Amino acid sequence: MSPGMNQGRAPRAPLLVLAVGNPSRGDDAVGPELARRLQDGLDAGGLGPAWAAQVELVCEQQLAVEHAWDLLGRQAVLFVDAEADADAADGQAAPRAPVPGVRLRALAPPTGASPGPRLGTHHCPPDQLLALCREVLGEAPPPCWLLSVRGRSFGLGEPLSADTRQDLDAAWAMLMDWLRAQAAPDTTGATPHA
Amino acid sequence: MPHPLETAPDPSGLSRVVIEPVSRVEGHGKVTLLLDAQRRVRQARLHIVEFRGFERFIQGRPYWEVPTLVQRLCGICPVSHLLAASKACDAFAIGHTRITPTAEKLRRLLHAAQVLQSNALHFFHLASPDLLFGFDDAVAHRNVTGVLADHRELGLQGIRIRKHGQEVIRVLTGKRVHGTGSVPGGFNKALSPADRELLRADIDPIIGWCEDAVVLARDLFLRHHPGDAATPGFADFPSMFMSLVRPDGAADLYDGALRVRDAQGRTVADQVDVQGYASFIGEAVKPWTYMKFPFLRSLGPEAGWYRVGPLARINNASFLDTPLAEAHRQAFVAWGGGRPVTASLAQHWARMIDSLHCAELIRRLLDDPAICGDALMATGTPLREGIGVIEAPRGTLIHHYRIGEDDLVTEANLIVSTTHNNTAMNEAVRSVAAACFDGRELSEGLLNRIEVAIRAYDPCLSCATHAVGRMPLRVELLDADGAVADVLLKHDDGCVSRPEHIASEPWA
Repeated sequence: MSPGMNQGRAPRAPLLVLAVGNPSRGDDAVGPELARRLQDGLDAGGLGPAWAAQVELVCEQQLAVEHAWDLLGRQAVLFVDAEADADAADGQAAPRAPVPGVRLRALAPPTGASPGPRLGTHHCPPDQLLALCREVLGEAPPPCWLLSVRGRSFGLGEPLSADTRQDLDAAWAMLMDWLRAQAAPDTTGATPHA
Repeated sequence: MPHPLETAPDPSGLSRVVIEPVSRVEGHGKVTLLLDAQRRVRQARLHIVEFRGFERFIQGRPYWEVPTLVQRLCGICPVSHLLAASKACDAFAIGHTRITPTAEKLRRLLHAAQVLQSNALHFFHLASPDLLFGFDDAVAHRNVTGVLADHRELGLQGIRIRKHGQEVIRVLTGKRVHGTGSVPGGFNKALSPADRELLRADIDPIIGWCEDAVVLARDLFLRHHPGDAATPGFADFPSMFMSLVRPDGAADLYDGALRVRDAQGRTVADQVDVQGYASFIGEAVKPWTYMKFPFLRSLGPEAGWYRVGPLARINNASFLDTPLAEAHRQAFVAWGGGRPVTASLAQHWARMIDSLHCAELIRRLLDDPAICGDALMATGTPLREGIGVIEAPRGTLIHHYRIGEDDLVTEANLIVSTTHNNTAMNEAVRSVAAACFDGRELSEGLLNRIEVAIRAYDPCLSCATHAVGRMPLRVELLDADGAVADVLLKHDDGCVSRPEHIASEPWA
């Protein structure tokens, strides 16, 4: 264990839901809002008692390089974020009939020798974290997915736009589907519900 | 100070280069270079194209929500806003009474951790790729991933330093980002002895890595500034510097009074009570940007601008009250030959001295058993106006609020570090543009030089709208007649392309 990295190897839940966004920036609040629903479900036991030990929920305003350590030792990871240009995004459509603007897609590290240049102080795409796991931390990243919801407006102090708010239920359903699909044996009997 | 490049006498007949947005700084910025027919830079401006509306965002909220609410202004420095707002809102809870000694120790610990982690992010993630690999290195390599690939241990040390700061924040506030802890009137969570030991266990190697980082930052700066301090360097220009100092002149990140020194090192003002900041600092408005231009009222908007941040803190301090950082401050001062160091890239050298100081402060505070005390909240007679000032990672941060009888915020004024540095960033852009862009073609390397200068200040432009799919870089070159002559796009994946020419709004 490296000094200063004691969080990196602590026992951790097999499933990580990493929600990203600023709750005071309009549709950027999609991630925190879905995180709130999930936290409420975990706290109240509404998702079933076994889920609390299976799922760790992290909600951040933005991703940074060190989140690569949060991925280590997981069975699977789900990123949840707003997407400014959902129509242009690559990726795999959700297995259920997708709502336009709501996508669940598997992530893979960028191809090529370098993870690419897209890291900075204020911007770190999820797939870059997978590359950091592989190329810098020397470990294969766990299977990761990105659940994205199209954002229409991101003004400071704005609430969620009406259209994006309507998409939240579909996104929540996809999040629950993902949890069921990833569930360990002792949670397969549980029936998460909204 | 109006610069000859800021306002061209006759904009008609000039061409324009637009860089929009600036990559690797927060939010969207736009740089405009106005060229003449001979392709010489005649005008340069850093535009802030988004109106942030911080004050409106806060008005009408109960004051006890404000410290938590303002953290959403910035995803990188939320603790700085938390603490500045807490200090301001102390007045609404306890009036003129000071918070308890334990609460102040906890706030100082929280603040040192915040500056440490933010400085590490800035230097290792943002600035070191340019400094290590050079401004003309391939964009696919000139980034923190390239640092991790070529200098793995160095890159990991930067991440470890940042994570330690975040771990202190998590323990004190409950979260790495956007916890609470600091509240009006004190602190709401005691530090347990077990958590104190947990944090102490890692601090010694952190201090060692911070000292290594000072040496690295110094060496990288000197590589890019081969002459002495009197030799003009990259984005090097004279200015005044402003920061907080204690009564004995030591730098103080959490509290103190304002000191201003000029480029010759002469003291312009000292021990200025922050409660009177409004009569000391004015804010000028210009029609081409949403961001104001602060200035010393005694000197006026033309001559009264200044810089804040690590460079200002190190230039201004009579001393640092931690031994390792003080030794490096003295070396910094010696290199400057007795005058303040004015090169923008020296921000990074100063920033790492700042970080070492914070790491030493963290150890000192954690070594103090009194930090685990449980007297966390003070009492007093509430007031209706509060002002809180701290030194945030990028410089002096001012929060000022008034509340009504219903405890709701009626007025708010925030002067963030980026705003203090507004004129300085424009000066940096102008300096680089005049030196590097004159008569040359657009290229990734040339454009990055402007970005490198801006990154020395790491402006917080729109505070954390980060949604997937944003942050391309757009460069436009307009002919003297206003037609688009060239467009350069730096995409989200770092690729650069020249699309079909896109019509642009006429020059105005």
